[in-house]
Amino acid sequence: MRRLRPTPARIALLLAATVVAGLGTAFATTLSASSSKLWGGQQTLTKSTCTLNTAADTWVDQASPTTTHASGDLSVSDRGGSVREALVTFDLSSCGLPTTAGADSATLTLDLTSSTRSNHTISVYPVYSSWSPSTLTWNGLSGLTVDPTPTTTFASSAGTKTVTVTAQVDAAIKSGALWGWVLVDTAGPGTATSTFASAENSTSSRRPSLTVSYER
Amino acid sequence: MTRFTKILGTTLAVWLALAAAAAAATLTVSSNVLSAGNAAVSSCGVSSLTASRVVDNNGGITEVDVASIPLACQGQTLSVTLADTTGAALASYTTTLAGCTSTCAASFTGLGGTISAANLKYFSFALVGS
Repeated sequence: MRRLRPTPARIALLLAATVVAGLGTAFATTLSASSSKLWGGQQTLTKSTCTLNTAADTWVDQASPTTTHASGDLSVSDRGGSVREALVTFDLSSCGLPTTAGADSATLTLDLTSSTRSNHTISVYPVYSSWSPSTLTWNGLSGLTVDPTPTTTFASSAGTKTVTVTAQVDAAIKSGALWGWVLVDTAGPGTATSTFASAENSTSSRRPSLTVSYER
Repeated sequence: MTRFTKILGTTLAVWLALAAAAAAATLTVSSNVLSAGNAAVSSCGVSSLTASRVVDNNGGITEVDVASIPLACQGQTLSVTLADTTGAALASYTTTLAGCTSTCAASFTGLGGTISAANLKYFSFALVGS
């Protein structure tokens, strides 16, 4: 093999080739880096529970279509000509939840204090429009937007009734407005009148409550 | 030391210096990939993301939404992983951000409600673009 003599020109050429090749390698790596945009992040959810004991509630009576019943216990009846329906809702804002929060579970608790029959069906329908206990009457009921499908039903036997309302409360947190539920006697032999404890009941533990387990 | 040895040594030194520069660039890339905190390294301007989810009446997750993503992220791939309190993944969803207006948003729907919202503790996000 012929040995090349390291002349100054050859040395300079070798160094130049080395620098160019090396820069090429580094530049290629840099291009690879900038061509891949990456970002990673994490959102940690805080879990807690909020219990609302101060309901806004009322009932309306077909027999007195322009009368309000903002105070006193709630009456529900399917008696012909004197159908009664009760409405209850809560102010979710007191839980202080942002609209990005959500309900993991939500339970509406009602106390059915008495009924003339225990074998009627009480249906719980979500309400999607605003109402006020101080102004709502039987005539005003038809102006409300009420879900045609009940959230649940239960028998008209006396006792505590717990209703799972997670989906509606979750949606209400996101929309910022909860308009509650209307209780209707939808089935049963003969006629019946049922009484539910209201927010004005003298025993606080019997009043309607809403317990929301949430994340934010 | 011969003249040839000096030349060879100089050449090796230059190669090593440039290789180190290349390796440094590679390390920077790797550190970006591994930084799962809230530090923004993307050029699309994200500093944090917030997701929300929709549940059915049983508390099962039916939808996950991510909003307020910078418009510059359009075309990038967003992955959202739902994890429990131990950090174990419950589910992962991926989409390409498209149809953005003033900001981008992603909505993963029809999730079936099989994952309980009560078990959800973390949303993890990854944005990858080119």
